[in-house]
Order: sequence, then structure tokens, then C-alpha cells
Amino acid sequence: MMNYQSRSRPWRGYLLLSLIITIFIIVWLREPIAYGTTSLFSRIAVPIWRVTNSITHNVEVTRSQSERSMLKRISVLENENYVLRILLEHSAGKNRHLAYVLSSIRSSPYDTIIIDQGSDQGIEPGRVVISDQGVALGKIIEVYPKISKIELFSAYGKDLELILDGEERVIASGQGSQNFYLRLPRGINVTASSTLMLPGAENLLIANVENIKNDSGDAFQKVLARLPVNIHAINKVYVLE
Amino acid sequence: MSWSKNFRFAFMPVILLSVFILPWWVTAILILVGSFLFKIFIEGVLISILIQLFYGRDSGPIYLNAILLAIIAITLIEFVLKPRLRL
Repeated sequence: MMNYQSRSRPWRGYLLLSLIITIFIIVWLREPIAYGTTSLFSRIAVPIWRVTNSITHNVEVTRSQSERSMLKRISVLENENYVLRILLEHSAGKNRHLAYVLSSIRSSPYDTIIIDQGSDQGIEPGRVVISDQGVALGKIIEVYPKISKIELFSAYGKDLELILDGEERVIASGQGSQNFYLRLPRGINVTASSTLMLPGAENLLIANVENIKNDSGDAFQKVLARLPVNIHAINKVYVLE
Repeated sequence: MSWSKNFRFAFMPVILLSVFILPWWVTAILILVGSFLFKIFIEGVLISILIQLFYGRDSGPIYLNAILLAIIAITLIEFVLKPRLRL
């Protein structure tokens, strides 16, 4: 009888096994095991990412002559801009650590990106990452010897305290894909040109307000904001020290 | 080794590469396709562990855990959809 039952319902065993695996993975595959496994697999992943990035770069280089000359001009301007920024930052006494983006944001279902700098280069968890234009992108959440993982501020389900137009402190919730959602009392003045900044002395821009929904009868206004840079096109970032 | 086993063996590097160079939804589709094509596609769970390790974050909602979703999807396909479709 027992044998018959167990043979007729083989999925029960598999479900139990799946449950055990899930609990095991969620509970135990945390700090030590996850760190070791990720460090090990990053040895395989980093060369793949580098090759992919170089192929993408080569495809871009083999564009038309006009595009190439334009890209060259942009590159010259970028370099000049970079030098000027370094000079400015140096006089302001701030340090920024240049890092190249390894993984594409498209590969991550969680709005996280991998950069090519890790603990060997002095990167620490909790540091803010900004773009070329000085827009705050995210925070370092995990650091491995050669790579680091960045969680974007706009990641889904992430609540963040921001400053609206340099005055009001508001809570924005990340919606994924570079978007933020804010539910604000009607008394707060928001316009389509409002900006959201990260609290702190540096006043880093994080998002621009794109859409405001005011429904009559609702005491709150729904505000949609978006990162002013295209995260998909970013190939280098700066880690603030 | 049969054709099916060879194909399953060749499918693994493809899906592994997709984790690093293709959009995440392509990998998700490949896991679902693999679950339909092969019996108890445990490789899908292994790939989801890799996705979770490389791209996962602790602060996100638990229902967005790649491993959990892969196990649920593979289990449903294996024991609910496949018998009904007689695959």
C-alpha cells in the first residue's frame, strides 16, 4: 500500500526536495558560501564580460566615417572634460574612483550592475556610485576581490529619502528601470522641472520629475521621476570615497 | 549517449553564457524551454542560483528571488503542465 501511494504520487518527493533546496539556498547560501562561489565564478565571468564589451566596442568603431569622426571628437571632449573634472575634484578635496561597468543592466533582473573594481582596489560596501555627469546611480552592496556589485537607487522595492528641489525631504520608492514613484501631500509644491537630490553635502542629483498626477478628491499627488541619464549606455562610473 | 542527452549537454553552456551576455528574460525563457524539453531540468535551478549570486540583492522582495521562481516554474511545468500536455 505504502509503495503504491509513493509510486502514484512521485511529485510529493520532488516538491519536498524543492522545498528543502529552497530553504537551504535562502538560509544558507548567504555570506560565506555566496562570497566564495561568486568569487570563484567571477574568474569565469570577468573574461566573458570583457570580451563582450570589447566586441560591442569594436562594432561601434566599425561605423560610418562621419560617425567615427564624431565619436573621436566626443572622445577628445570627454578626455578634456575628465582632466578638468580631475583638476576640479582635486581642488575640492574629493576623491573619485574610476570603474568600468562589466555586466549589462539588461542581464540583471534586479537592477544591479557589476564593476571591475573590488576590495583589491580599495572599494568598500556602502559607497555611492555616480555617473560621468555626476548623477547618483546607486550604492555598492557587495565587494569581492576583483569585482563589486552596485544596487541602483531606482531598484524595485527600494525606499529612499531624497530632497525635493533642495527643500523638502520626501520618500521615493524605486520602481525599477530608472524610475521612482512618490506619493506626496498636495501641499508640497512639485512641478515638472523639479529635481530630486541625495541628502548630503554634495547635493548629488538623482532624478528629475517627469509626471505629476493630481486626482480630484485625493489628498495625495502621485509623482513619477526618472534618472536623467540612460543607464544602459553607461560604461564607466565613479565610486565616491 | 542519445541525441536528447547530447542536446541537453550542449544546452548548458548556451544557457550559462546567456546569464552573462544576454538580457535576463532570454535566460528565463531558455530555462522554461529547457524545462519543457528535458526531464526534471535541474540545470535551470543551478543557473538561477548563479543569477542570484551575481545579480541578486538582499533588500528586494522575497517573491522576486530567482531561485524560488525557477523552482516553482520547473515544478509546475514538470508535474502540472507536462502531464496535461502529455509531453
